[in-house]
Amino acid sequence: MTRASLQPLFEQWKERVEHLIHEHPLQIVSWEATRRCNLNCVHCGSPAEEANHADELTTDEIVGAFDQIARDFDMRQFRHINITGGEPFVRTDLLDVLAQISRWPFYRNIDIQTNGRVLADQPQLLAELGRYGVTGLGISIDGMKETHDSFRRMAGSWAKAVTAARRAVECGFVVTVSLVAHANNVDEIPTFFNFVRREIRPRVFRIMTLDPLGRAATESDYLPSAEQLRRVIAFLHAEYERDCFAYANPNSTMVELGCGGWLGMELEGAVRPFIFHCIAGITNLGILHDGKLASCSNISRQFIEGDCRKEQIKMVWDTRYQRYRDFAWKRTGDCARCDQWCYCHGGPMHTSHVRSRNRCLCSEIGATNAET
Amino acid sequence: MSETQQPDSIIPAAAKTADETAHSDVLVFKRRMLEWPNPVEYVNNMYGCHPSDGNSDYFEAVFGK
Repeated sequence: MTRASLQPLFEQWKERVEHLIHEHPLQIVSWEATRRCNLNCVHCGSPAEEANHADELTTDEIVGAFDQIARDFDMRQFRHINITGGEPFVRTDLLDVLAQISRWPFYRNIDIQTNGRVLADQPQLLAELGRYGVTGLGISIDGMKETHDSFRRMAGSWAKAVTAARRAVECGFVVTVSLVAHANNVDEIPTFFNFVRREIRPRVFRIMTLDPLGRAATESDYLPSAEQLRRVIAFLHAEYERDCFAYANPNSTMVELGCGGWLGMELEGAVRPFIFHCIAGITNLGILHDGKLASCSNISRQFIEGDCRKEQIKMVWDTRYQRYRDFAWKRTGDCARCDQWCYCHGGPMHTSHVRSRNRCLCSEIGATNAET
Repeated sequence: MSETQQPDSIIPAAAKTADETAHSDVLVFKRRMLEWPNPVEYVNNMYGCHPSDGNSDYFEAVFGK
């Protein structure tokens, strides 16, 4: 097999993506449980100060929304619920919500993104989460102790995150350790990865590159340079090629670049165990903390499509979301010149309005012909 | 990760590696990813387990022998 022999398969993959966009079957719901948080991270993409917490959905409202989805949508293709924040565990009714929605058989593949503080303090929660259909836990750790605690602006936060991640692995959850790569932690990523692989043994070590969202929009010193981005990708590429032969083993630790963008046909499928296309508004419906309907919680609120307090969710999904499914408006700057546009459609929705230096990740790392 | 340990651009390194392993399992895995019926199967299931239609396991299918 040669790389050239994969070209027809990329064309077939693209056709399946286009079909999916046309059909937009609901396969994942992202619920931003709250914008409140028990940390105050320098680089948070969903900061608490930008939200009105009084508008947070009540227990009955969010359970009602999930019930409505269960009744109105074709759930045969449904896959997953992704719960984000803020910090989801500051919601004191989180277990109550999980207990109620997990009565539906298709709501029993749930993950929660957390900083780990509450789970470290209350380890008994892990058993309850398992009972209520939680299969995955994503725990954010941004480097070794000093680096992490500095970004989190709280001493001891690293120890709690590591403790929570270890316990979650021991309890059999699919654990992802997520790191946001920025200018001040890129150098220690290899050291940290070796620590994670040896001491935590999660299923996934995930890197997201810092984008100018939320607090990071005003912390430009943290934004990684093009050179730093290339080093991050090179690190993931090397680790992937070294260990991907073992990825069928559920006890292995996979590396992945998260939803950071298209990497070009050469690197896609060689830096992470999948070929990337953003799923926002295609298979992924988002319910924000205040009931607004969009997609992933770090997508700008200018892309809100409805309100589950006032409208039927199925109607909103079926009749709106055009901006998520017709990408012509995104084809500007580098994308206008790129011959791989037909595969990525401008990359992830969450960076569509704030692309750093108006550049795609793929052009920043020199992976496509869009580079000027 | 010092800068002296990494190439200026990852593309030459990646291309070289791919050439050297043109018949390697890495390309086989990539082919299997491209052939998976749901093109966003993995992205749909990020952070959770990975059920799919027919209960086939994505990782076994893509990375298995």
